[in-house]
Amino acid sequence: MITFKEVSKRYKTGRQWVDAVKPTSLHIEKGHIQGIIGFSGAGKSTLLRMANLLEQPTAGEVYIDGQELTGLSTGELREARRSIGMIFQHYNLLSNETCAANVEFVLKAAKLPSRERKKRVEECLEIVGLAEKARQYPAQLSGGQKQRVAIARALANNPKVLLCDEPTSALDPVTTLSILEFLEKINREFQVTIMLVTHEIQVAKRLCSRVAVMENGAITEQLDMSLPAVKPATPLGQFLFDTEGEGFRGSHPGLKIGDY
Amino acid sequence: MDHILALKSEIIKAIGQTCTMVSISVAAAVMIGMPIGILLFLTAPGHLRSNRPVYRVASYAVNLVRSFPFLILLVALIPFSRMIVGTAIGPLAASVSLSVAAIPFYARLVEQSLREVPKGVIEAAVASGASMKHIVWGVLLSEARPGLVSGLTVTVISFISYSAAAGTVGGGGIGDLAIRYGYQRFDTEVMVACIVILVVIVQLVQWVGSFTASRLDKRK
Repeated sequence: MITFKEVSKRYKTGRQWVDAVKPTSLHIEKGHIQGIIGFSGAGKSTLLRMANLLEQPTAGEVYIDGQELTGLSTGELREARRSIGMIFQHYNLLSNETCAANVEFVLKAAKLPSRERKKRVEECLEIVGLAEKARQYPAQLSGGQKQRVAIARALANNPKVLLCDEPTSALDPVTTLSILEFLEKINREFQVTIMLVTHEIQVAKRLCSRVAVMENGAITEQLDMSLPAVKPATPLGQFLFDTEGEGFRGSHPGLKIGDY
Repeated sequence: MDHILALKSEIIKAIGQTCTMVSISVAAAVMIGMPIGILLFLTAPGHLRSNRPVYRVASYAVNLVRSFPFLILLVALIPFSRMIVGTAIGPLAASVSLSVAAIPFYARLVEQSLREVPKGVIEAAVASGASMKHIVWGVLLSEARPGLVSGLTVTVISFISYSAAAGTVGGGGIGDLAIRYGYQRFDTEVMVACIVILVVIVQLVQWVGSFTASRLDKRK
């Protein structure tokens, strides 16, 4: 469903060239929930943002459902983006618009007729359990509720793919769990393929069918979470996957903490 | 007091002239200055339609007009005013110069308010496949609403004050009345009356502006 073929991202900060993402390939099957885990600066958000070309790759190709995004014209790309939903760490809702208007925005972008828009807005807010908040403004909602409105917005155009950029990193553990349950439900009920970036191992463990560990702009290993025992090979993978909390207690000779 | 009452009709006429000049120039600011402000924002480096040559030219033109002391701009534009409204004197002629000054003034304020819109919100709209027109209307102008209104308030008040200089080309207005009677004829009474009127107008405009801006702001 999502394929990255030797994509890389290189940019200049001041006088130095930075390789945010080194040539990387990744294939995500339809219906899977692919996690990308790593610490800040690992390039995981950049990789995610290349999936809908918010970030233009320096080289390589991106395919969504067989369509090569990297070769599309501006108009075609806009069209393709309508079937790719996205949610963000800081929700990125329109603050001067109501929740309903926030969801309606993307339906307008897809040029849906007014009457169908109203109906779809209601449906989407219903899915995330916020139908009664339709006329409220984002500032009147809690963090978890804002993220749910963002999920409703991302779902409105029946996307094939949902991109999640640290969706729970600004939320407390209980709210995090409720958001993960919504994402799980969306994946199950609407067959939406999810690519999720996080630095929280609990999030990856709870939600993902596959987890890619990313370090210094490269995927160092890909773990299959459906196996009874997940055995990471890299020091970073082992650190992350150590039984709950052990990661902070044990010593990790292979992991160069000073690098982070 | 009798003296002021005797000038009542002249004062009312002057208020009318000020209103004419300010309305025309502020209308020009909104209709032409706002699109230029949007252009400045969109073409700035690192923004949605980043285009260095266009940004440079627009930005340079805005700065150029804004560097003129208003009185000089007013006189320099006399031939232009004659071309546009057929006369070089009177409130309409002064409105031409006032508009020329108001357009870049508001354009910069628009650009600044658009920059206050969080980048992530714009990004979310881009990611949803919205068209540029939809992003401008539905995201930029909507999210920047309070700032745009505050900027407009600043523009109205500045141009009430600028319009006082319009007397130089026979533009009239309440500020001109204050200068003619108070400054040139040492008629303190009329001058104070004019200033009181201006103070009341400015307070009123500011109050309406602030109230509207806060009503439009849903960020809390």
